Amino acid sequence: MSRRVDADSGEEFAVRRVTTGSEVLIELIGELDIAGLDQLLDAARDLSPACNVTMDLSQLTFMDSTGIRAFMTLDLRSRSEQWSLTLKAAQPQVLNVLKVCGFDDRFKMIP
Amino acid sequence: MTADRRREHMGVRYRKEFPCSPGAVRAIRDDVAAVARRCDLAEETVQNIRLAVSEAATNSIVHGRARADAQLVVRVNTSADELCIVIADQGHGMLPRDDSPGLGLGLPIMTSLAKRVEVVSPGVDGHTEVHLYFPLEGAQNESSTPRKG
Repeated sequence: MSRRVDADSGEEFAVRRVTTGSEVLIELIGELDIAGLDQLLDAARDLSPACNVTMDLSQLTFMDSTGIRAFMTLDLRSRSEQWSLTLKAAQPQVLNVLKVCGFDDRFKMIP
Repeated sequence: MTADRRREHMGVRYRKEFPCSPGAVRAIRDDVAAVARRCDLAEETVQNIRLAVSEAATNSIVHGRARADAQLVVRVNTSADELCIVIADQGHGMLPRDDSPGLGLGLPIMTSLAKRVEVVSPGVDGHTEVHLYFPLEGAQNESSTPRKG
């Protein structure tokens, strides 16, 4: 079983990816806007079919519609590439954005 | 808010230029949120302002890169009962485009959070301007609960 840790910290937004076998944990830290979009999508590259990707949002303190765009992109990729995507521990501001946009039941989410 | 306190807030003005680049979005929303807090708006409303401003600034950056040295101009003014946030870019307005990188959610989010949204093109100096209006205390509850888009 391999374990790989990739950390990519920007000034305003950071992404941390931990791969343990077929489990991939992607932690989003800070505030996600258009400046962090490529950083997030880069962290979600090279995902193997059948892997389980959990996006940990517990440290994501702000997100605008850029986040929804990223989640939509990854959700579509997960379906075409046969891996799973789960959003975990979304904070009130993030839940609010999803709700305002009508996307609050679009993604698989866990507390 | 008392009449004296409201008068104290009238004329709160802010104007700043930012590079028309993604890295400016956070600074813009943080600056405008600070102005909103100085107007004693409820924190929930301040958070709605942060989100609406982030969307407006993002739209301006996506649509406003007419020149390599393009700038965004952000202005905040207050009247007796409203906070008006203006984000002006040097682009060609919020026209549909085939290569748009977004999902078209920016304007719906802004309209669900603000009391009203105006897109003015051409505005001052021929720029495209997005005006976001939020009520000051007394009417602010109207915008504190977002309307589902």
